Amino acid sequence: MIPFEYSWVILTALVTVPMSWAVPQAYAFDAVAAWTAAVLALFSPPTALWLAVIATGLPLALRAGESRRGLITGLICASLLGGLILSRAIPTWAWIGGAFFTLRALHVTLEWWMERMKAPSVRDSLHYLFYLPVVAAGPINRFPHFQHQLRRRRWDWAQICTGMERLLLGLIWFFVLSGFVMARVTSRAETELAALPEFLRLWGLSVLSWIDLFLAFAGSAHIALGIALMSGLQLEENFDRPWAARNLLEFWTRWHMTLTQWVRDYVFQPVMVLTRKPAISLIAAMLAVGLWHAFSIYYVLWAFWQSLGIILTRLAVGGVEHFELPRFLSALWILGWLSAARPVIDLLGVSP
Amino acid sequence: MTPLSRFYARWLPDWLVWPMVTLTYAFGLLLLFFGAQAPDENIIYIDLQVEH
Repeated sequence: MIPFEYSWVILTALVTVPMSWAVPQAYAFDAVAAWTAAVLALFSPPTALWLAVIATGLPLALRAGESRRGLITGLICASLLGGLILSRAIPTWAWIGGAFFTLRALHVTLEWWMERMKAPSVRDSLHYLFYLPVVAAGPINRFPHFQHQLRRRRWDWAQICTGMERLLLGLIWFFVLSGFVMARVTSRAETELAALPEFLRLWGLSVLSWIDLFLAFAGSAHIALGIALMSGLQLEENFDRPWAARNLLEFWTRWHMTLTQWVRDYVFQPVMVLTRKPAISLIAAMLAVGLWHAFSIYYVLWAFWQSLGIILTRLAVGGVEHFELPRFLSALWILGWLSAARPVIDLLGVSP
Repeated sequence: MTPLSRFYARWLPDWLVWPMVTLTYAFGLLLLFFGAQAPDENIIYIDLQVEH
């Protein structure tokens, strides 16, 4: 296997742009899917194999299981989650994008189970799951929206130039602001903060790591969405100016939106229907978000901390009507709470 | 119109918009050329499980 880095993802994903316009429209995304499969097979054969099993097996299983929806849904969900657990248990196999394509496949399955969507064809499923620009870093785009975009795509210079702008912006955020600037700021801060008590030192570093994470992840979202736009596809946004949120509750509707919307639809709402208890539904949803990042005690505790923040925000917003912090203070408060998870959990002797 | 050209069009006369957009692209490419560096650590949201 060839060592794989994110820059390879970008370069190989860029190939999908000329390919999507050069190949006749009816077959363009067959070519893109074949290219994606070839790239994955070259860099991560287990990912290519597992994704091929999902992309072909899922529509066939859904079509065959119309009369036993509950059983088929249960089996598919167990297989998909089993695959994700296995992929994390064997990181040496160099998996790519398991956290993202598992949620895409679960979305198709659960929508079919709730009878909000028909079983897709194998070809449509291949187009959806083998789309290289969104494989490694999302967004967790939805199947009906992707199909709609494929149908309506047309050559539009303004859209293509907008895609190029987003790509350039994303590259600068990812490789310059995160890779160059934040690497130096963090390295300097590690020395400067060394004299502080452990709690404050970790908190300070955690603040920087959230800023770095935002630049890198929002940068990667710009890159993926920019490349998709250059192919004529307007996919779902992943961020909506999260630091402009007025409170923590709003922040989680603006940060990694495709994940939080997925969790809202397939975890929060079902648990809410079953229990009628918002706090339990919220904790279940945040646990799903935490475990999506990594299967570890740290992320279980992280989920409880972030749930506590949302519950306190909810109480404060409900208790003090017409009171709003200035934007600047809100952003500081949000960043302070998010990053406090690291030192607070460290007090319990657990590290990421 | 792209987002950048819309931004400049709000502040500048029409004839200056596209030269400024071009200049911004050039500046961005220069930044990338001289300042690009891959982030050191694994970023949790980029799902590449690669042994370093």
